[in-house]
Amino acid sequence: MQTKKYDYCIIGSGAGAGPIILEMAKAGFSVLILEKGPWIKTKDFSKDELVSCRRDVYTPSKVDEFHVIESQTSDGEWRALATRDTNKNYWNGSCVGGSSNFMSAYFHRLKPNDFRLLSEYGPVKGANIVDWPISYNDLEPYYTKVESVIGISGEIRQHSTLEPRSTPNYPYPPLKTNVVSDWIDKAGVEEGYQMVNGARGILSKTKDDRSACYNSNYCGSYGCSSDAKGSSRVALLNEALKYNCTIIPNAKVFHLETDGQNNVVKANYHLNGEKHFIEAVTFVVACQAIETSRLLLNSKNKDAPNGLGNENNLVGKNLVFSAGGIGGGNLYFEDFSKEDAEKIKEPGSFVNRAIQEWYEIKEEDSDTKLKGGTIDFLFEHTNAIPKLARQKWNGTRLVYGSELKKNIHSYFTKQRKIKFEIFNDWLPTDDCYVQLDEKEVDKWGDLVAKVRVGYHPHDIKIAKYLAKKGERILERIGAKNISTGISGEPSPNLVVGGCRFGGNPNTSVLDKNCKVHSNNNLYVTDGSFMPTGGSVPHTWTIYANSFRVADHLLSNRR
Amino acid sequence: MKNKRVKKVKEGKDLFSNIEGWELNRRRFVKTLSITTVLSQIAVISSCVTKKNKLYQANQYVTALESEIIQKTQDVLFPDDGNGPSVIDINAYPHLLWVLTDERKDEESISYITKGIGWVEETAQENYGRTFSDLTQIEIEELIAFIAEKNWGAGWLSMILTLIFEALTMDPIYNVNTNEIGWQWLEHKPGTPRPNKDNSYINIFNTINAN
Repeated sequence: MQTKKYDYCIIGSGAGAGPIILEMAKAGFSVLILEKGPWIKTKDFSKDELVSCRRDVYTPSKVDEFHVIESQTSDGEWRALATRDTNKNYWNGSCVGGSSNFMSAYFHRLKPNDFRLLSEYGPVKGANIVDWPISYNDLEPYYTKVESVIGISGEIRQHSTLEPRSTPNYPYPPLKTNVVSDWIDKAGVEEGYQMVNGARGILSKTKDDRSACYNSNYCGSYGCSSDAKGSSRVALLNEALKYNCTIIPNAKVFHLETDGQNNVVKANYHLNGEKHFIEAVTFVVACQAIETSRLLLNSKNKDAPNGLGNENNLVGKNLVFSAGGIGGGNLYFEDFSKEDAEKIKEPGSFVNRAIQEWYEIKEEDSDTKLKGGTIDFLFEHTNAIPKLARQKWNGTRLVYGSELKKNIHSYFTKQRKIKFEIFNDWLPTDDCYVQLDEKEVDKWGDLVAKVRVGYHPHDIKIAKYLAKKGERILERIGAKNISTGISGEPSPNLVVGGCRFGGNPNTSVLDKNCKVHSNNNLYVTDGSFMPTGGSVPHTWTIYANSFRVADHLLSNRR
Repeated sequence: MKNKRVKKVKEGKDLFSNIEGWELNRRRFVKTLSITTVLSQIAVISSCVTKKNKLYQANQYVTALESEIIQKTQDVLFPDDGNGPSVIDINAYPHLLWVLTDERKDEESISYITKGIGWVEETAQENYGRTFSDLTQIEIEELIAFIAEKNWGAGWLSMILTLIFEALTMDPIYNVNTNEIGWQWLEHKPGTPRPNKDNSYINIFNTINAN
């Protein structure tokens, strides 16, 4: 039984946890990390598709741990299905460092208007849009800090929606790009757009004991073998462990205990089949949005019968994903010179181009402006099985035999697929939230999260607008068979919200420093705090905010 | 009988309706030792299959009939037609056996594979009045075509194809993709570093648990 009382108990070890862990440890505080997953170290990673993607070694068994997902059927009914029984997976990397180990690390800052969505663009019927309690200027120093501490590579180019910066450029030069990046730049200019040289949370040069990116050919979904990718584990936790910091892996926290005076006093957890607890002065929860809400709801007691911080039934509400979709087209080698075709084939090189021309959309013949989004260009992932799998079906007809072999060989040797991903706001609504399932439990007997994943039709409208722009660029560079898929299907790896922060305890779970309003020593520092998600991937903002909260905690302690 | 089959699938998880969704991700962070053992046993079977060319023997995992159905179905799905490797070249059959013995895979997925083998035999009996073993090559191809037009059949065949794809492109450390023959045919460049004995699926859980 653990009796030592720590200064900080951090639950989770991903992007929302790492900055606080490092800053508190460096400041001399004792820090104890409870991580549900195992400790997978750099040497344990390889580019093995079987381990990383086919058998999902880095996420929990969906038999042991699962979610219940409520989706809306075509007739408007909500249907709940356990992921144990479907092909969905809402885990994103359950191990020390969390899903940051496996991110693609497309890094974008939010822009000033993302912090004032309601004020700038007005209400949208059916959406719970609010302004943030902090401004872009409050977060800017921490975005900058992430650039150097995590390590962000890229090149700043002036464009119409470039956010204000306190430094002229990224600390690391751009990663190696493919010839297609030059063509996209040219196509953008021809269309009259200002192209963004997309930043990545990946080192292009050696930093301390982390090596530069070596263009492994398999990046997103795979652990990094050079530590170039700026995961919480390599960029923050490894450094924190040099101080008074301890990690307990495979420790699943199931309940936070309070003292009747609005203080959390213990984190109760399962480890090796036994129950344990940790005592600390301050507790920080950063388990990724869904699991964070689940833990607060599962921590109900006589003083907090609806769960911690849930006096107003707001915990779990206003969950947001990233809206948008994916488009793509084929670059057939026969359409290019032999020399260019060889350049297109070059393994490992990135595209790293984006357009944010329509981060704000002005409607034609009107003064109305709408919040738009980001288009990121990238190659189809080079691992083999998904590419093979797409050749199996022609509509609903199963393709097999010599026809299949011919198609497969052609797909792999005659073309390379260029894609774009659209990121726009997933508007918060009353139909997207986390609650506890009434009866389904995980392998420890704890109620699992039941997640309703409704979306706002406005999200689709914006995504379709952006898709047309992306398709035009692909046409310009010579892609064929261009198509786009836009839907309200959520991306489980891009999820925030559920414990939105705000100035009013009646309408928010957290205060502006991410402390639970109704509690004295409980903080939430993963993406749960975000009342709106912006029109970019969330990771950079989560890192930055965690550094901001760390500064607040340090100033309080001093 | 066929209505019954459809009902079975509909009541199941529908895990195999598309490749993206078919998940072999049932893992427990223990129970790892036997995988190495099984892999070595299957390596022997693999050697036997390669040498004797389609010898449909019973083994501790399947009956002789099941072995024949699996291998002949795989051959129809991914034929030795002169374009790229055959299923024998990539050890597709031993790979399927290995999957059947993966203790981290949920029982329902395993059950789906084995039940499907039974459905093929059942359909052979219904359509031809004979066991699968007695069908001619042309009849087998007709049978697979017939099955592929049924929802239950297309789903099952799709799953068998997925396992062939794994044998075609997984790292040779798994006794498949022999001498990288699949990668060479597809001009595919794998990511680096490639798996080693400690961090491949065979030992990864032991390695992680030792951290």
